[in-house]
Amino acid sequence: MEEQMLDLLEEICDDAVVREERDIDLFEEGLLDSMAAIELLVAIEENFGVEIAPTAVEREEMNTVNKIIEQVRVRM
Amino acid sequence: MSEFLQKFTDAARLHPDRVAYFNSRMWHDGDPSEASITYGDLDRASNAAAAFFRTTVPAGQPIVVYGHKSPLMLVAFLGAVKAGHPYAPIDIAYPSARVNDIMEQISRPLVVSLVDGEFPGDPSLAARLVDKAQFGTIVSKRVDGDSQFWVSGEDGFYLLFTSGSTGRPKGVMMPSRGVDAFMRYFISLFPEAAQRGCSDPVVSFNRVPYTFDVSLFDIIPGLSHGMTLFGLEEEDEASMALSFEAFRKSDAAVWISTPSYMDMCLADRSFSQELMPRLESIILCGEVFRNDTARQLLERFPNARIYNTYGPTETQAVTDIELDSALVESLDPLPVGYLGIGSGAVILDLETGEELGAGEVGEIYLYGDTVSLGYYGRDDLTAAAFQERTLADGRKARCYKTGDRGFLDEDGRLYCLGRLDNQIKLNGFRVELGEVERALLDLEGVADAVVLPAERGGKIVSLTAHVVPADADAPRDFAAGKAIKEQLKDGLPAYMIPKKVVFHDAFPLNTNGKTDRKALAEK
Repeated sequence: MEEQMLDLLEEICDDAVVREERDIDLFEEGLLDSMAAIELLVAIEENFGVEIAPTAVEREEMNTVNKIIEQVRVRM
Repeated sequence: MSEFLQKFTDAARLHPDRVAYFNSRMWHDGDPSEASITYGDLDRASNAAAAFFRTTVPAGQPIVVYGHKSPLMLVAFLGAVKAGHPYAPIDIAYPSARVNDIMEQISRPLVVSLVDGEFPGDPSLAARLVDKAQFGTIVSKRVDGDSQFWVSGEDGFYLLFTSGSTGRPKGVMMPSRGVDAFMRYFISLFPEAAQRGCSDPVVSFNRVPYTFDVSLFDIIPGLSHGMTLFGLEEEDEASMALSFEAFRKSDAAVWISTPSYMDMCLADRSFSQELMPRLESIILCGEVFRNDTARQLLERFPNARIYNTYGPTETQAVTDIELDSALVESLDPLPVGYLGIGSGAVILDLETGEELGAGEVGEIYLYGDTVSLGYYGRDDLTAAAFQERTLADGRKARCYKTGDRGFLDEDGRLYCLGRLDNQIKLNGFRVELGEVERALLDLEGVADAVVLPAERGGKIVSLTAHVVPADADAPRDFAAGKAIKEQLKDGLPAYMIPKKVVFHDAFPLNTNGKTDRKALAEK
């Protein structure tokens, strides 16, 4: 799952840096914006069957690679 | 005399206690005057603002209003036009260099800053800076309104700055008569109760900032017909949960946003008629309205009428069409609509400039009552984009050359197929790639730069900056790209900052010896 999540994040953030820097704030670094964050949630549901409603997570709960992977893990 | 202002003041006399505008601070603790304003108070406060502007600002000079979604923004806008001045809004999304550029273009304007913090611009570029507290004192005075000073006819009503390809934003000046024509046309898209100005007020939600012409979609038809306008404040915009809570509580009957924002909301299953049971009109504008978005809306909001609309800042919205399932299943791309009353479109051949017939693709030229005066202080740009033409039927009309590629079908429906230049729409924001490139070239360490849109699923999702560094040995890692992005933030709003920076030794050249943008895009 983790590897697949990294692939997905690399595609949506458009940068391989997400594989290494797993605790940087993706919004602050300009790697995610609110549109891309929603796109990510939709892709997570398509790929893992895990539904995370955009209204169910605040930005500070999904602003790093590690936090996003954790959000998926707890719902699997 | 401004018909809009006449109708607004009539509405204020008729129902002074009705709420004219409220924002999502309604449901937070804090000063209630930061959350809503009634028709009576908006009329009185804008009269006081007008009296102040009349005595302090040279005739006709645009008044800069800086802020976001405070009720005082509307007080300042209406105060300006009641004093015969256009208003020039600047949103908090703009960094100081851009704020300064706009002040320079207007040449020492009066600036009203309606934020709690400090005004980000250089105060020495303003003739006078009025802060929120001072403005509050000014507008609390009791002053009778005087319609002889109102804007009318060709006087500027609003001045909106939009991305300019040469690196500076350009100001589009809309005259009072254009605003009146837009009001008469656009009210037809609103619920019947709003059109009749009836006793039970109709609430309209508008997501866009005041710097975007779509902000006028409810200000103009709404405040003239006794509607109640509703907007989200910063802190609620940032959270989808808080936004949805505000939508539910708002009881909105009208929804105005870009298709991108609508897509974001639709990604949450709870976004439906159950969340907003009174929603009657959904009006989207600013970029491509995709069939898939329309399909989802028809399913989630079976009781609402859904409209696609189109019009650049230079002409305001000029087309609309109600989307039903028959249309959505038979036409892709969707038409942007039928020309509204008082507006027309012709399609011209890209090579010969001849007027084309139905179904033939060329450049869209728009004419009619809402064509703006042009670009403020830029007669050169105005002359290039606004031209008098003789139409096929012999009539003469001042046309705006849109730069949009499209066609008219047999039924008179207009289709927009994209741009003929390097202007793009990113999440509804109009961006000239040339402006971002200019900002990159102004940075030390950048020898050459090209900015290209990055697409996913056929939609532009971000910008990519291709950069040739001045020093070939300089590092080219993530940190180097980040440093460039950070520097760009001093001059460009966040939505114009490229997501990714790609370094090159040199750019591929085409046969003319120019940078081959196509080859770069394919890399």
